[in-house]
Order: sequence, then C-alpha cells, then structure tokens
Amino acid sequence: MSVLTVDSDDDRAVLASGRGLLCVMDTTGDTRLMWDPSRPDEVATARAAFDAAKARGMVAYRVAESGERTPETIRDFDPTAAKIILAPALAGG
Amino acid sequence: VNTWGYTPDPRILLTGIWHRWNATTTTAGYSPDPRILLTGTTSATTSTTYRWADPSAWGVGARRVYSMADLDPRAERVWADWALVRSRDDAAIRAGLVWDWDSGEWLEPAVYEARQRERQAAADRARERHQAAALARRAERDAAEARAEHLLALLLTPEQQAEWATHGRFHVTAPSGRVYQLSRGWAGNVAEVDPHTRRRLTRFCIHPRQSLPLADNVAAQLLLLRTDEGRFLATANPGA
Repeated sequence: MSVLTVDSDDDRAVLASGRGLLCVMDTTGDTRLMWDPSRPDEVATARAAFDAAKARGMVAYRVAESGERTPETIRDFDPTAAKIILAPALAGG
Repeated sequence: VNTWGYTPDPRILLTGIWHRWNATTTTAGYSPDPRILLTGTTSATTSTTYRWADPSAWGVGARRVYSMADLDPRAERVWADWALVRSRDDAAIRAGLVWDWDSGEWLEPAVYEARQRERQAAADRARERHQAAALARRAERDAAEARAEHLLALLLTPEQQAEWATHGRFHVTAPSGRVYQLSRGWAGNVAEVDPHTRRRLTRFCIHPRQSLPLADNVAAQLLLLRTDEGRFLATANPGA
C-alpha cells in the first residue's frame, strides 16, 4: 500500500477524513501526498517524501486548516500533523 | 536572378551588376576576387581596361589601381569558374529550368514546385507543432498557478482571501505587530505598511531561487513572515 497521491483540490475533505496532507511546492504548483496516521507504510512513505524535500533545502511548516492559526516550522516529519507544507528557502532579491 | 545577377558562386546573391564582358558599366564594387573591388571607371570592351582597387585603400588617399595582369592568379581562376558556371546556367535557363536555392541545383519547374510545396507543408507542420507545444506549456502553467492559488487560499483567513481575490494583495500582521502587504508578484512584492493608514513604509525583495508559480512564491513569503519575521527581515533586501 503506497501513499495516495492527491490530485483533487478538495484538500479540506482530505483533512476532514483524518488523514494528513503533505504539500511540496514545485513548478507544478505542488505535489501532494496524504497519509493515514494509523498506517505505518503510508507514514513511512510520507516521511520519505518529507526527508527528500528537506534534503533539497526546503523549509517545512505545519499549518492549520485555515489561515487563522499561525503555522509552525518543523524539523522532522510529524505523522500527527493535519497538514505540512514544504516551501523553498527564500533569498534576498 | 537575371542575366546581370550571376556570380561566380551561385550561393551568393548578387545585388548589383557584375559583368565582365559587357564593359559598359560604371557601377563599382564587384570583382572576381572579394579582396579587390572594381572601380568601374572604364567603358572599354576588353578586360585589360578594367581598373581594380584594393578595398583597404578604397576612398582613402592614393588608391592603388590594378590591371587584370596585376590580379591575384586566384582571381583568374575565379573568373574562369564563373564563366563556366554562367555558361552552364545560361544553358539551364534556356532549357526552362529553375534554380533551387535550397538544394543548389537546377530543377524542372514541376519538380521545383513540388519541392516548394513539400517545404511549405513541412514548415506548416513545424509551426503547428510549435503552437501546440506552446499551448500545452501554457495549460501546464495555468494548472500550476491554479494549484498554487488553492494552496495559498488555505493559508489565508476569509478576509485575506477576499482581499486577494479582489485586489491581488492581502495584509498580514506579523508576530511583532508590524503589518505587511503581500501582492501578487515575484520580487519586491512585499511591503511593510503603516498599521493604520496602510501607507507603504518599506518594500522588500525576497523570493525563492527556483521557479515557482507566483501564488507559491507569495505563500512561501507568508509562511516565513508568520513563523520567523526576524529571518525574513534578515534575508530580504529592503527597498524604497
């Protein structure tokens, strides 16, 4: 069982299902993976995607379902997170 | 190409007059050797009355003037080749053939027309492929931007979403209490504004090094601003 790739834009439905959602920003907008925290194989796959993005220098943020709550930076993959966004590091222009 | 348009090398299109045997011309500028220009000051009928000048001395001071006997032997060979080519080309024209610049050969008119049609069709196909590829790239960019817009929307409050949708910008209060305005853009699109008047105070230039949709860029700026304003300010280049 591999982690499902989320192509639908209905992220809120994913979040409501209790699964976690990982969004890695890229030229396609972002690549999304979702995982079931109770499924070790899905968690492992999501963790691997997280680590790969971190290895490329991306910054990980744990975010809430809406913009009301302040996001947090995280160093390690959190399988209990509802949503994680990996964004590229920024540089002065 | 007319009878005045031949050159020793058919790959070279002659725009002026170059005719050795009709010595009535006074047009200057051409010679069998590209290093030597015909001054065109003669109206004689034999080659010995042609006058040639070194282009390096053209129009300056004492011009060195050559006779045919002075010409580089290589020029004589060029003349001979040219005469041969012209003779062959005259025969081709008399035979009703058409010079094909692309293949460098004389062709029957029907063959020439067929080749032209093939080339046009190939050019049309290439243009269609190019247009299709451009459309596909545009569709990919639009899809990427739509996904990025969706991701950004999930980071915004309803008020910010409305502002973004209406004005292409939104305001966010950082942990320090400072208020920033983030506009749709790539560089220089973040500004600190007065919390009350919303007048712009300082503009910042900060963005990813890699290419991303604009909304992803804004999302990355917003995330850093909300989680580590100090790093944001330390990284960004402030502007006017």
